Amino acid sequence: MLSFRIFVVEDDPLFGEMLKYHLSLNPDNEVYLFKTGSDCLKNVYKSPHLISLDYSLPDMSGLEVMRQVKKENSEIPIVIVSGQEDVSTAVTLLREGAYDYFVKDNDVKDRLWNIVKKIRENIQLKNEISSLKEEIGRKYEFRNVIKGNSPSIKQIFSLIEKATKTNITVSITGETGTGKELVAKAIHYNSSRAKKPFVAVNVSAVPRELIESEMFGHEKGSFTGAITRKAGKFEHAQGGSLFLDEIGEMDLQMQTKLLRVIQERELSRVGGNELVKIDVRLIVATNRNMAEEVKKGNFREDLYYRLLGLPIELPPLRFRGNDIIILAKYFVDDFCKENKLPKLSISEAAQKKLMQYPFPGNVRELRAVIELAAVLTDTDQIDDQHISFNSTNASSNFLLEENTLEEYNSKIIRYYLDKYNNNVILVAKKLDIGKSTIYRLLKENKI
Amino acid sequence: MENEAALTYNLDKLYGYVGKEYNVVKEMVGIFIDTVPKQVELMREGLEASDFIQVSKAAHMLKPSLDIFGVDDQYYPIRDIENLVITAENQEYISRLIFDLDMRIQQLVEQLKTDFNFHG
Repeated sequence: MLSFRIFVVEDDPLFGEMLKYHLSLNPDNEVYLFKTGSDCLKNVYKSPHLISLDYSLPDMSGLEVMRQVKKENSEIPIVIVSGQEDVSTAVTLLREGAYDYFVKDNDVKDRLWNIVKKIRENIQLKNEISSLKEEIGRKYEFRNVIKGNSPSIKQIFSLIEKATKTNITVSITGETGTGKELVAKAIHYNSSRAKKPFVAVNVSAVPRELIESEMFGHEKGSFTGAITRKAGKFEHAQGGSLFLDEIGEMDLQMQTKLLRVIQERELSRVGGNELVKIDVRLIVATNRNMAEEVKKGNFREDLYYRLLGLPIELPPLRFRGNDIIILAKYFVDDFCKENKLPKLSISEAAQKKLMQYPFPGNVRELRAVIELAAVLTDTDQIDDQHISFNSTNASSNFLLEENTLEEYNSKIIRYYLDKYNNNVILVAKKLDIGKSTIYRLLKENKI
Repeated sequence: MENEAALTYNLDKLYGYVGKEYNVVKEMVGIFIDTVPKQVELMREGLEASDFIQVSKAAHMLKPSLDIFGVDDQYYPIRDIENLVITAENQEYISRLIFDLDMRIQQLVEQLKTDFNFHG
């Protein structure tokens, strides 16, 4: 940090000069001495990092000077130095926003020195946080994080760009692993709210009985275990974005409360009466078909339309064509860099194998497959034998292969025989078919 | 600085603020010599004009300076001046306190001028 600017406002010439001298012993401090409140106020435009203010000044009281400084710049910390020990004055000043209150005694210089040190540390921390946020912003420049050239993903880029320009609610849908949270972050960190918080809540991960307190906060004693007041996720996201993942899992009672908060833009914590104004940009996500959920009565129609906003439907990876290879290469490079490994390439055969697989787990699954392949290979290349798929969604694999009914039947029977150790009687019972059918298909080599 | 032992003043608190570098200490002593007698003068003028607010303010201004120079024997008299003046009671007593203070300050200033070579 460059120089730390301190104003000493003190009409006692000796005390003022001593303080100025003492504070100037640190060459990083730039100390200005003013004898009157009005001189100090004329110079507030210089944005001092700290003001040491005498309570009794010839032209106005320290309190009046403080009020006027705060009007111009409420961020400037002001320390009041008084010749008298008066608790009620101290309390008034602290309530009005004074950073601290000292009596003019031996300890003033040390206390001021410590405060300067503390404020400098705070400023440094704030600067670090600010530059980290900028770094995150650069990291989440969406073309850096959402890789792909397919027409479907280019459409998504266009929608994200539109979303970043306003505060419109965004609803993101897509299968698991398509990058819903990534898109939410990309929207936030490329919007005007980038420097404010991004708070993510996975609605399905919060127990039903705690979701209201988690979202809206609670007052001390509002329920068993509420030993202190706690701000909820909405308050944590104040000024920024709140990402509600798996919004489709929210129960109807909570949906009603959420709707009210969205409509009124204010909330009250559980067990409290105070209304808290809310300024939060909502981004929601689900892998459910919300229109269907509304039809089934699982989701409120009014809330659905409130949350619809700008809908972004993320395409499954299998519909993104060559993006599979673009992403695979990106994940290989990323993994090698993170683990300090030499660069790896992906063979044509491996690429072909990747392109033929439907990726029910989408991008998340692709990443896992590639990382495992990178570990398994002993050369500088990932080959097809290193690519293995371990999807739990066997049934959707079946359907995507577009077989005949007879072929599907055979696959199903084979699957069950493998599962139950070729126990034909048990499999026949499970599938509710005759065991002779299974024996026949085995004899005809159709399984 | 060697004459500090003659009970007129004690610069330990001043050293605590600015260190013991002679030129710096001398600069602060110079400010004291310039400003403190003027405060006493304001007190006397205020008393003569029955402007007790002026007397009280001047007394209030003096306290930190005398404290820094270790003039502890004047703490209570100055506090009395501040408090008594507020009610304008016993002006004869205040007048005597201010007179004694004036003598003390004059003695102190002369001592400082000698010790720090402010003469001529």
